[in-house]
Amino acid sequence: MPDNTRGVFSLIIINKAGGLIYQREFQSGLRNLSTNDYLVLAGTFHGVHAITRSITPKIPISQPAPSPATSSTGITAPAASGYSYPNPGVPVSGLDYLETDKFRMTCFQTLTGTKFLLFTDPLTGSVDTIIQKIYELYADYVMKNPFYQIEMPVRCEAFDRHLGAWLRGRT
Amino acid sequence: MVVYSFYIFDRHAECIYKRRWLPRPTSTVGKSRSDTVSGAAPTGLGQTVRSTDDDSKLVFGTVFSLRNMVRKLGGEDDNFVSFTTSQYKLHYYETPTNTKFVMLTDLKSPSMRIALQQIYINLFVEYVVKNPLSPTEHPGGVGVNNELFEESLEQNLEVSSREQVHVRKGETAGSHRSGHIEAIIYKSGISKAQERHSCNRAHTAADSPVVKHTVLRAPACDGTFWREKKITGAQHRSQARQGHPYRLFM
Amino acid sequence: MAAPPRHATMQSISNGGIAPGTDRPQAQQTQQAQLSQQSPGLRVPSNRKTIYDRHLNRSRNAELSRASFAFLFGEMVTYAQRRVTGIQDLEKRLNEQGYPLGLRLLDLLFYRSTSTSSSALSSSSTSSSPPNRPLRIITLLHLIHGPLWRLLFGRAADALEHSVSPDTPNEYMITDNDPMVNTYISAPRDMSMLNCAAYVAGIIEGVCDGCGFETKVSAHNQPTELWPSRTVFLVRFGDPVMEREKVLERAGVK
Repeated sequence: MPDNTRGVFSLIIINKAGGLIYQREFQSGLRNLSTNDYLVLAGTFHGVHAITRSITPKIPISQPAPSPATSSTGITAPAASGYSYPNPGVPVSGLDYLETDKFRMTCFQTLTGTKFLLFTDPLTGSVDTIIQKIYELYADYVMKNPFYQIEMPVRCEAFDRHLGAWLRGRT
Repeated sequence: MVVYSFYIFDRHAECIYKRRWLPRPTSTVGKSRSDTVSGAAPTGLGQTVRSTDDDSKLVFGTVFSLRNMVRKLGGEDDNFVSFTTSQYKLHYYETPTNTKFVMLTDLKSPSMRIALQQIYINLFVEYVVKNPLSPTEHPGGVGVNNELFEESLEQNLEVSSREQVHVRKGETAGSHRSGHIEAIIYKSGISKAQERHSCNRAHTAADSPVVKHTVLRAPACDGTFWREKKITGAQHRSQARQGHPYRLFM
Repeated sequence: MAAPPRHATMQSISNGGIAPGTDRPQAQQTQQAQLSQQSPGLRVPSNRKTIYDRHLNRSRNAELSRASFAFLFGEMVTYAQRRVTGIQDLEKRLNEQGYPLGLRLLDLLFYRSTSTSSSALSSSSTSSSPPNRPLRIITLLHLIHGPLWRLLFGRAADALEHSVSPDTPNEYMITDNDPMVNTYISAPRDMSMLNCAAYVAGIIEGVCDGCGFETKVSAHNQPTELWPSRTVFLVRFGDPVMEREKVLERAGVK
């Protein structure tokens, strides 16, 4: 079977409380961290993700009136109280892609708050497809497993197996 | 491409410079940092209106955490370059002296890494580090917010973003001033590279004023944008460059 | 050995609807239809057509969402897991959940395998209907391996074997390479012996019991490289069944 995992370094899943529930390396390329370091990383990223969302620039609509009473009710909608977001119509998200010299990290947050962090080679394409498939496998082999406790570390042999097989067989 | 804001953090994790722009030409030519910032936009998350000071702290916290995370995963020689959300893109550049340059732009922007590096080399080093009047450290941003730096930054970003088209583009009298400043730099004999650079720029600027929109220029070459008040300031500092301690460091 | 009493309880629950070839099911249908009209708990559509009024073959080729089954079965496993003492206890509970389904399925299976036309509803209830209840072990096992598996999972089972050991002539094995119930299930490491297909084993047990074969059926993991969730259902017939088998063999009954 041809090995097509080239380009996908590792996967991390963070639950909605910021706890690390899954970590797996597919291909070396990043440094190995201790479990504790990964836990810290997951917690840190959880916080950073929330902050990156909150520092979204706001563009005043009519007059830039920085009255202290300005308070928006909804976070995602272009607020009626004097400013809009750069991309109105697109929900405000936190960090989606992070680029460094050596790798590219893609963060996918489900509507339920679970975050999938995929570390890939900067040149790997169709990262969104990969992450969608991982979400699908997660929904199948983790969420449908009666022995999986919600928000707890993922230890599902079928998930591991299918994930590995799919990444290997990916063309 | 639209630039939303720009921050510089020193090695003590302090924000020594910040600037916010709106996509409209109004109120962007603010002079002092605090004025520009507080007058720019209500920065708030949800129900609370956050002070702009917190904003820079949040930005710092973000880039600091991400930088550490990247170093942990990718090794000490890996560098955090940028990140993207659905709304904006944050560019990051860190100098070997741990000064951090951060810029928030829209999603369409290409990598601003070179631009940030240019700002560091051509603006920060030139007008802040080499400025004998600015302290070595910049507590509270002292010494960074000088007119020369701010004006050049403004121009630099205008050139690269082309978003804020200023009316003063039409002024023609600037060419003389350009020559004047050029001469001063010449006399002070900064460095061969700088000299050559200046020559080129003087040349292109004289040839066609449109060229400045396509290249990322070093700042002092073209005086087109100086206001009268600024010229005096620029002259003042340019003259200060000729001073003894300055030349020693070159 | 616990089979007869269980069978008895099932009879009382299902109103004795297990005997095929009689007119009981039909009677039961009308009875329950009336029942549904009387009791306020059941929802009756305005046209008075309840699920009991539907033709049994109507859902013959109907498709069912695999995901909804997976979630339902997952909840069944979770439910069975409460207050269990161990893996064996858990498997026993799953087995008990499958048993009544096997009994009921048998009726539907016979009904569908004997008659395909809609008119069969009335004609099949005569006493002269073909006695298709399996009398011999092999016919029963073929019924399970083929029609039952197709009814449940849409395909036949993968293998049917007889124990070669002279000590255990009463043991048969039905193999499923990838049991549908286990598709999404990963047992935790400390419960690696557990196989949730014990539920299917319970169904088989119910079917055998319904046919009058006293059996114990258990599910065992036998993973291979190609089939990681390969499961073997071990069917052990009771001694009376084996004795009867010998008598029938001598009598030449097929």
